[in-house]
Amino acid sequence: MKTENGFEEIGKKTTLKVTEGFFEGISIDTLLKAKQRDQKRRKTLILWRTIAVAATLSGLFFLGYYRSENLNSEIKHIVQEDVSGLKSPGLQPETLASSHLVAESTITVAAKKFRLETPVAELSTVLSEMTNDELIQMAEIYKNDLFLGESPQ
Amino acid sequence: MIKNPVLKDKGFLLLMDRFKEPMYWHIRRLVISHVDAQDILQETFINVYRFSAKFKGESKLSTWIYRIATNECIKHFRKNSKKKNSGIITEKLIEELSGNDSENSEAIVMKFEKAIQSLPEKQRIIFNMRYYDELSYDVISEVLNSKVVTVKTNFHYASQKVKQYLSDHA
Repeated sequence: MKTENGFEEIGKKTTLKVTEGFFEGISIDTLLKAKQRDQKRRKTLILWRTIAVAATLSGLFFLGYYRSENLNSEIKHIVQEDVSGLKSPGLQPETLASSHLVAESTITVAAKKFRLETPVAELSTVLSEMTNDELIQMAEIYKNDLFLGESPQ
Repeated sequence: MIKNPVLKDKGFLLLMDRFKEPMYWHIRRLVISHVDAQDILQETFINVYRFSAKFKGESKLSTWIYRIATNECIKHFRKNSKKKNSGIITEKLIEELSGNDSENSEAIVMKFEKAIQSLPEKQRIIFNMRYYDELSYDVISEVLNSKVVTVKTNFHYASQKVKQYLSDHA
């Protein structure tokens, strides 16, 4: 030992003891433990990744569902508002429903209002995100509505 | 070799054979208890196995392993200091040193080890690494992630305290 400490007489002697053969088996034992821990960690990692993917997919599904539901109810609301605005005391609902002109004008007004309230870019984004089924469903709303659709009456 | 997935196990065993004894004694001198030293040694090499791919070779391999071992020891100290009976644990460790006193061991060595054990945590680590493992101040500072001056100062204070302890208990 260097003389900088003044402990030369002590040297590196120690009173600590270790059992004989302790160092022989420890390498294999540690390797097995390390591999075991590695496998366990990998399994946990796979589980968490699966959970994360599932959570992301369900999140996207619910977001899409929520947006399409909102859009449908918004359109319905606008159409109903405009139809009630077009009603006059002298006209019966049957008369209004049979009139193509009224239906067309209602749709035009509704579309105008919708266009005013929704920016064009956003509307086109919404429409482009909608599936064919959703678009058909939206068209059905217009068709089947008592005041808008082409009723036989 | 340890970075290669195919040769990883073989490389790990070679590495362990090379470093297990010096690391064991480094840990043992810090924690005193054989059981704790064994656990910490295994934990150290499990971490070496786990993070071997992340070893960039910026420092020497021995320095890297020393750092892992020392950090594990520090973690062990923190865990023990949180326990309510941490004072009793320290006393037990010092008693354990007395228990190791066989006919062959000299009383002065035992006293010296007790003196080291009475040092504050950081000084004890630095003193052990410098005195027993003969590591340079640069390596110690790298292992502990502190400045060389700080290491030197701590070693100086530790030496003074050990000398004082020995003269007080002469």
